[in-house]
Amino acid sequence: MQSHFEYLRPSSTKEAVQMKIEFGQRAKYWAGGTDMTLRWRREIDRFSHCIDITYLTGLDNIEVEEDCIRIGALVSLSALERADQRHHLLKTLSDVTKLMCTPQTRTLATVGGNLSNASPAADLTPPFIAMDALAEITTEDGIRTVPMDQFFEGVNRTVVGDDLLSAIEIPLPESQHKVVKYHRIDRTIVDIALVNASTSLSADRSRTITRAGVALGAVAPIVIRSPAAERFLEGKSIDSVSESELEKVGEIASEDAKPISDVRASADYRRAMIKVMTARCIKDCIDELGGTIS
Amino acid sequence: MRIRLNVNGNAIELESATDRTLADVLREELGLIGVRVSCSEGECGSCTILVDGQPMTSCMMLVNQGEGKEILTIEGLGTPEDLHPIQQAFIEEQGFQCAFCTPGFILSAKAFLEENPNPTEDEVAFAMSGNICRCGAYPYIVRSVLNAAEKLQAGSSN
Amino acid sequence: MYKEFEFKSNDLAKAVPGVYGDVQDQVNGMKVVGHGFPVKDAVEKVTGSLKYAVDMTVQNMVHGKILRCPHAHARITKIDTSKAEALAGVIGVLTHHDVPQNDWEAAWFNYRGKVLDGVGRFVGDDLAAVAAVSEEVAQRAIELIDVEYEILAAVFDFEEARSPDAPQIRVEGNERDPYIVEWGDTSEGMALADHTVECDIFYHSQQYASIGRNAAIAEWMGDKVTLWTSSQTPTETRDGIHEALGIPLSKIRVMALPAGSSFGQWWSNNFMMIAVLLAKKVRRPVKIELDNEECMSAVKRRHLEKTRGLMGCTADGQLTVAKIDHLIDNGGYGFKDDVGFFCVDMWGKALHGHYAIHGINTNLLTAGCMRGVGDCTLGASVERMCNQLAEKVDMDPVEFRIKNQIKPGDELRMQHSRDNMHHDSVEEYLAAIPEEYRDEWPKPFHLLSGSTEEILRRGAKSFRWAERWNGWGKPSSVDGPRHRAVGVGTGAHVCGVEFEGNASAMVRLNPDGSLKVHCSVGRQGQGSETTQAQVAAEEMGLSLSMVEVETGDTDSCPWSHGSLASNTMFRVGWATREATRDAKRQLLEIAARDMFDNSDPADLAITDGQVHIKGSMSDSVSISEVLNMIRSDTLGQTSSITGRPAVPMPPSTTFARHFGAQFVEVEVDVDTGKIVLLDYLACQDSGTVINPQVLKNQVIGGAICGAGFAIYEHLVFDKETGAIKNANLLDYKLLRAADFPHKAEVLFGDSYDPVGPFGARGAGEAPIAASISAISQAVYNAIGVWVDLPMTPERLIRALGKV
Repeated sequence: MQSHFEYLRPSSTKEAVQMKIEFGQRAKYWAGGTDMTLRWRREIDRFSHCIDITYLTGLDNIEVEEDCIRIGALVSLSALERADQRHHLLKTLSDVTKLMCTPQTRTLATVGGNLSNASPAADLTPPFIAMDALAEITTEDGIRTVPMDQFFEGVNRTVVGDDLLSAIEIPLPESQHKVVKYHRIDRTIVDIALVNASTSLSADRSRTITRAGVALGAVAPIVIRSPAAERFLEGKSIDSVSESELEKVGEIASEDAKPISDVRASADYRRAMIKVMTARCIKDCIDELGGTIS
Repeated sequence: MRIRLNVNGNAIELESATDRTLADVLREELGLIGVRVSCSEGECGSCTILVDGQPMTSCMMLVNQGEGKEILTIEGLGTPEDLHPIQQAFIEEQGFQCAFCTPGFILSAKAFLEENPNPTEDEVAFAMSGNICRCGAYPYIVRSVLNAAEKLQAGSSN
Repeated sequence: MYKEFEFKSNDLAKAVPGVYGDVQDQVNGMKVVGHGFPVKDAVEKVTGSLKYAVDMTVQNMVHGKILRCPHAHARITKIDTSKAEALAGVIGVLTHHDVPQNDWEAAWFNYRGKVLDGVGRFVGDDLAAVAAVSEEVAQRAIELIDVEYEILAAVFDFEEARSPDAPQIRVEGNERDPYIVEWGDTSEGMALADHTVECDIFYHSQQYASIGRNAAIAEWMGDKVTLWTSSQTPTETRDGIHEALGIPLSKIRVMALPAGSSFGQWWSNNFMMIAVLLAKKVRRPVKIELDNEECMSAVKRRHLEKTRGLMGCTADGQLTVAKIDHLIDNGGYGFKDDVGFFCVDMWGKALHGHYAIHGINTNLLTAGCMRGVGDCTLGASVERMCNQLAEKVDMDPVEFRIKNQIKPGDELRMQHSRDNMHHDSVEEYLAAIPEEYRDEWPKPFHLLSGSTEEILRRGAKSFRWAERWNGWGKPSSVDGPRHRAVGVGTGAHVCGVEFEGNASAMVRLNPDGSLKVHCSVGRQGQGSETTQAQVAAEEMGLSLSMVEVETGDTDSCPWSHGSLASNTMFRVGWATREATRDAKRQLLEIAARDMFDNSDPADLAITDGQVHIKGSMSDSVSISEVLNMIRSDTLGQTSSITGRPAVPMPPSTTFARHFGAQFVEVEVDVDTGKIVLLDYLACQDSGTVINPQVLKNQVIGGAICGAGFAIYEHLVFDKETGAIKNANLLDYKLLRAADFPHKAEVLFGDSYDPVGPFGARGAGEAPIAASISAISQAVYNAIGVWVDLPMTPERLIRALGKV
């Protein structure tokens, strides 16, 4: 039996956080509500209060600055989809959103909601982690910032607590070119990822990879990094990575994966696909950086 | 609580529990049976409506999320005597079989064609993938939307 | 004693996909049949005003919910409904104690059991029901019913269920007698074979996954009941209520409403019976509306199936033997074992054959007939084995099919259906038919018309098969991990069945010259309200706008099986034409006598509603004038004419089949296992095409449903409880617009059926089978390995040995 709940509409971010603190665990923020409705209908969540934050202003902007891209938590997936012309990193994120749910759900669903739902198979999480993005969290007293790879605690659990995720920041390091790519395995055109991977490479003027991010989804309770794969890539020239090294880094990443078998795919298949997708992501990154696979 | 909705150009005020979905209110309180509900999980797209011109699955929305917005259901699009060009195109190409999904497809097509009035076939197929037609009329749905694009183009150039 | 028909073609369009209707019109001069008219309910459909059962309300109705069994197999030892009854808003509770303990049977053994009998046979089975002022209160009351269960041993594996030691699910035992079709001597066939192949293939279960759900609203008036529901089988549903309640058929009225996509899901279902009984108990109209999860986990599904067998051929590719054992799992309440039509008959030129089909019950959700039952499984197994034999003798798959598939005049192998028109066999039925009828019937157990040959040849040409096919197991192109290849597959199905009775229809010619057809069929998107009207309009000489069809009201529609087994056009369409013919005969007799100087009625014709001497439109009179004439006629006591078929229809299983041949190009990513469909041509031989617009849509729809079964769709059952784990569209994947080539085309064959209405036969089920086999073969050609269905990315990668 679906629970009954009260509907609350705060007028500011601060008031929203106060409401959440007041009503505690049985109160839920409601952004696009697309994951929440599912959880409510399937009686996974029983909650007493719905704190509708869709009417809050100022949280639905995408700002492209010199040193960072800032995406408000209430930016809808379709708004992110339409931001493809604004920055090459946003182009990739736009391509990722096109894979997510349906056009109708993308109009409702928000970036912050997608991250807060903390699904290990979420499409946006791996690219954000790979890009070293930061979560900006509004608290009762101000703002705290958490790296995206420390944002998740488990399936459907984050470090946000009673606070409110208000934005995601993608740092753009000075005098380096940063790219990000994403691959996933799905079935029909609308699907959640059976397994996914994203890599981000930053290269300096000498065409050296200064920073590599490798993030893997649906292979652990949270989206994970493969530090060994990152270390393998850092310091290499974007013109010196060979086909066999692509395969090697895929293997390294798949060793870090700890997948389980479920209704969608088996652990073995997921592990094998991490190898394929990581290699494809890195190849795509090197292509965009103008490097060549030797 | 009292909820004010603007549906198909009519201002409506009604009493509703806040934990009802917009789809349920449109169907049960306003009798708009063209808002078809099938999967109730935002997957099939049958319950698609336009909210301020944007397609949304109304089974996933709380009734409050429609407050203060312009809501369009299939009932507000065309009448039997004066069909909208998209409806006419769906008839001409038979872009349906059982047609339970059809209102959702037509409204998705309307939002899509407003944004992309001269689409390619692939763009149409991709844009129409937010709705499911279990009968499998897809090639004819794609042709319906292309036909509708032509009709709308011709209409706007007049 | 049987009529020798000439095998003729339709003299219609040759290989002009998409414009068939226009060409047919020019050639045949038919005014209504063969034209792609928009369906009659098109405006209702695009304006969202068409009412399905979920949209139906009745004044003063209350809402029902069903208590579902939480166990795989359990007997209720105690059921306490007092807390539920005490809840404000609850009107009443129905338990097995309130239910007559009669077995009722859904069409074609899709259900056999009691409405409620205090035993749950699968997780989700119906146990009790509540009526309340709202669905929400009813659901809360369901949760307040206290039930004590005796947990019974359960069995989920249909091979285990065959053992006499297995838990017994039904009083009849778990396994039916096998349904056997055999001819010749398979050991001789083995001796003749230069090559043999074997198979052992398991098929997962496809879910109907209807978009549209369903509801049942029952209302009693005195001792008579009316049921509104979306159903493909109106009169069979009425018969089910009759069996379940033991009340006369005359007291039962079913009003079948249009359905969402159905594919066999919405025939007669147990929840409809519950609505009838619950409404009777609470003396209020009751609506039970199923949610999507109930539709996907508590109604029915396609069978789990397994084929074991072998086939053999000579060095020059002549099939010599087919020896096959096929198991189907019926779940809790299915009772079916005969799914052999397609491969047994289509590949019946094999010199010796033995097919045995075993129906078995398990503690899983009831299985029933889903579109192309058996064709998609047993048929796919046979197609695969034939492909493997063709590879061994290095024959092109198109040529192998043309060489070995049935042609008009060939013997049909499926000759012994179990129960036919209340006789033990179809032979007994035929023997009981007066010779005057049989003289007009085609020779039984021989294919009368149609085949795969013409559509294979023309399809291959149109698809440029010879250029694009690169040999067995060889991709036509390779680009990194992406392999492309083409494939071809064939399918066949009956054109309706006569097992439980003859199809009938009734027409009423109104005083204004309009015609109403009453025939019991479904409206689940296949356009029956339009195509039946086209048949009647053509026969009566009326424009389509003068004909309307009532399909769902059993108080006016005579009995038919309904829309199942590709029955609608062939059998019901036949009845509609015969009924119209009968009305026309009556009309012309009166017109000839009273308005054309006692001329011979055979000299009269009707064109656009005008009765006239053949060949001359002068002195014509309108139908309306003739009918108003008999109003004052002392012999004519009625202002309208009623027509009904004057003769029985020959049993169609004994001579009619329809065929599909489909061509596909696929791209397979051999590193991820993902399959993309690139190009599609679906060819169909259904005899005369009554409405090309409707039929091409239905054919492509079948191809898409088959593609789903081939690549993605399967239910996942919990190993411990048998419960379905993916009863939702998030994890039960259906194809979408971008998943299927939108340039797909349809090509119609030009055969003509001497019995069917204007030469038409059945249509709906061959396309799904052809699609599955075509895609399977294309994937084999792309990667060189046969992959069992569904060919999900993971299963494909496993088949390649990469995991």
